[in-house]
Amino acid sequence: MTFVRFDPAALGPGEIARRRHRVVLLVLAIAGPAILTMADLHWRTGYDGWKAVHLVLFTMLFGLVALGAAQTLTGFFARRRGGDPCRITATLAAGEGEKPVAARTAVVMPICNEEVGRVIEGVRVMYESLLRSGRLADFDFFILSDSNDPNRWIEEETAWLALTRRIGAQERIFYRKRRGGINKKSGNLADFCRRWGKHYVYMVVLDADSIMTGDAIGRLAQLMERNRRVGIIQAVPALVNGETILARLQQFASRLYGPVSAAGLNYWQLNGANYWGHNAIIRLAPFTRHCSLPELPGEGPFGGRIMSHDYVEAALMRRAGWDVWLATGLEGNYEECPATVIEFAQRDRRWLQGNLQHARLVAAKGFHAANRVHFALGILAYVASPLWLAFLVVSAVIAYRFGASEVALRSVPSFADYLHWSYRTQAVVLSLFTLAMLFLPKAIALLDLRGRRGEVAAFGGWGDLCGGVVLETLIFTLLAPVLMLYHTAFIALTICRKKISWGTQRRGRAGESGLAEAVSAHWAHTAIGVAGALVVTRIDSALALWMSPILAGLIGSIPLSYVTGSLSAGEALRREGLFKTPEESAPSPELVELGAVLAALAARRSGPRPSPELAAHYGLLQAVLDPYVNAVHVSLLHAKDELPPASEARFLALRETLLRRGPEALVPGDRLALLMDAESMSALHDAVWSAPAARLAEWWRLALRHYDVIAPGPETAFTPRGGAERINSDRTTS
Amino acid sequence: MGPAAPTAPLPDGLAWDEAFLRVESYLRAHHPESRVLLNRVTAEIIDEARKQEPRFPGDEPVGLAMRVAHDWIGAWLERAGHPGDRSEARVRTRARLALAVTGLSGRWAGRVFSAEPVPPEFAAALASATLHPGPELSLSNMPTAPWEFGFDDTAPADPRDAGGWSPVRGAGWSVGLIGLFIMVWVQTR
Repeated sequence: MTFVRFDPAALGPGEIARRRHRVVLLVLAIAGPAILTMADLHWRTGYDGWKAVHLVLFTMLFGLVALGAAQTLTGFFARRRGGDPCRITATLAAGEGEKPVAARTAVVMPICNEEVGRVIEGVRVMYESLLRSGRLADFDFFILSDSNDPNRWIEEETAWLALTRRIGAQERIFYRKRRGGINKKSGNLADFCRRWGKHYVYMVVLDADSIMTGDAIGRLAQLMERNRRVGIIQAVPALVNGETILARLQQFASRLYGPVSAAGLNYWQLNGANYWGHNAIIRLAPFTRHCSLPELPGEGPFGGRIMSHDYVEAALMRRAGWDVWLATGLEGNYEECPATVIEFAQRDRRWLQGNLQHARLVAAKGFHAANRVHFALGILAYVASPLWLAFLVVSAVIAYRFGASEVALRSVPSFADYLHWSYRTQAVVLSLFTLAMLFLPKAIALLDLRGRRGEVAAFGGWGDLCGGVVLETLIFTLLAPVLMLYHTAFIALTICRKKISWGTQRRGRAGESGLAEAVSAHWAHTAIGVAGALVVTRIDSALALWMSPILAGLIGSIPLSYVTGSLSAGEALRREGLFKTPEESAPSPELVELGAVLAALAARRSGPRPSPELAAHYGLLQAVLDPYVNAVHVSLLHAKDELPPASEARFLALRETLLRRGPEALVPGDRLALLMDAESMSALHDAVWSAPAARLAEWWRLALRHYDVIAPGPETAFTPRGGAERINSDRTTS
Repeated sequence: MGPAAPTAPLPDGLAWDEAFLRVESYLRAHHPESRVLLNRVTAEIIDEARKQEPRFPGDEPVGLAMRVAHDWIGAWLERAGHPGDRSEARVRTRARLALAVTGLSGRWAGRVFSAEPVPPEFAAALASATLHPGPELSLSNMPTAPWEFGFDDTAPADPRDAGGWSPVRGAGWSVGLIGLFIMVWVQTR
């Protein structure tokens, strides 16, 4: 096949508008008959207020279903015959992506209290992948920390230094900890841009759980070099490393349906794509100039600091005249996903708050229509839940009134007469059409795989593939009403400016949910499900049958949440070959390496640990006691000029309290203040080591014993493998 | 865990035991490879501290021994080519940092507190050891413009959005399709 290079700058006149109108027409063509049929059904029994509301709700919800179906259809046809010619990845010919990039690029990973081993090893794997690909020369890595948990913070510092020494990357992998976490992730990135943005042409933004191969990072930079009008390229990451059923199910679904859906998105977005906040490359000069985020007028939930920054940054970039593209089909680009329903809901809570805030921005001046659509769809993704709930309630009310008043069909003309459909047949046809549209993306994705034998084999063959689709459909169908109730509650709480208190997450192995946690999170869903089942069964048995998947999902939410968050159940399905993805069948060397090293880290974590009293403040313990950790920590803090007397006196008092009464005697803010004061940390190091035990708090005495001969060797990133243990073991033996 | 219970000072012999353990722990926290070396250096430091005791009658053994330990480490670092006034906390911190950056793994792992002469390469590495938390700062401004609300699009028109296929034609198709549905509705009443 001859390669035809795509030139976004010469995108044919009107092509963008033509494509978008085609999608709109397809949505109308799919939704129109369904809405017309629903209107006709109500017409035949006589309209009232409830039915009018019902029709409006149906129209909105079916519009969203139709958009999904239309996007899948356009994506499917776009992928035929070698793929959509208008895609940013088609601007590079074969082999061009592998060339070194002659532009300085920063690979940045903003983090906040993340699992340090995962962060550090992820960075290492990407660094070494770039090194192997021969393109490292123009790339620097930045770990941008906003961690306010002292344990994480100290672990980050030592692990970073240990990594840079281990792989000789002292001036290539950098670490920056902000003193305050102003504006969270967007503020963290803005801080990077202000400090070092001028050194670099591009910035590859990653999440703490992102992994990109050197080839993918290099290719993104090449795409930016090739297309000088492009401000942001968003790659579509594949989900990986899932172990629970829910995580593996998300991996499977996104890997199977994702390519068609992404192609559909690209079909209508073209140069007006969105930015998802990570696994993307950004042109720094325009980003720094145009994408600073002003606060929204007023206070939360719809005012103040912008929480979901990515959509807004894409809109600002577009407003400034720069293109934003979605890079479909870029291999070697991964992220991880929530492992349990509860984590999934927690993530949705954050996203939901941010997306609702965008309601104001739909009407902000200067934005392109596509960005307004992105904002609106982002909001609708969550508002659809209360709409669906309202639709179910109104449906039940209409059914009740229908039965109670024994409403007879009116003898009015209806187009169902032309088709010789009874009222019931018409209702069944409408339900089947709705189901067909809901499941169309799944069928289309399977159809898309036809003729791609290698990919089918990577999914485990047609048998495993179809089994996975059936099970995935079943589980997501049951989970959908649970998420519906979560989203509805989140929206109500956000509007009422209330917070949700989550029970302490009790986990076994990484990400696994416990039964007690599942009961605490889902008892209300179960109660609502039972009450709903009683009500609808009394109203009408047909209605109960229609609502049975929803009610079953709610009633069974506790075991469903527990089982889908279980590692052993996930492992059992893996052994059966279900939910296998190409990334599991033939993982990239980077994924293999990361998996192996994370398993080794997990094994090390299961070794002797400090006592719980020490573990609670282990970061502080190390930063004060360990000569090397203390030196690194103090050196990383900005050396300050002499403090004003009041501050000096305050720090002196805090240090005295810490020494005499232990860390629990200080509030977290004071502990952090001490950790941020270089002079205090140096003074504490000297004071603790030089004071007789009798003058120290019991906590410090225990901490010192931890550094003594009998206790297991204290672990830091600087501990030579086996060194401290060897000395301890010698001592114990002697 | 509660605050420190006021504990009576230890008898002299036990106080020196405590000092021995403290110095040993502190040295061990520097990760010397040899246990023999660790024991020898600790004993050396305690001997020296006991000798100094009459000169500092008010000092407790732990404090005195740790001061001698710092002096001993300072002298070793000086031999290793990292001189400085060890009475300053910052200098001591820099020295520990140099050891952390240079001497803990790989080639120089066995050199920490070693009595053998320090190789010139190790001395050079120690002297030049520093942290690189980021490149040199090059500050830039991120200007922020306040939001303006309203639908009068002020974005510069993208020439690619216009052209032969006008939005009016697209809207015409949509209106036509909706009209078709309305016509079906009306015709079937």
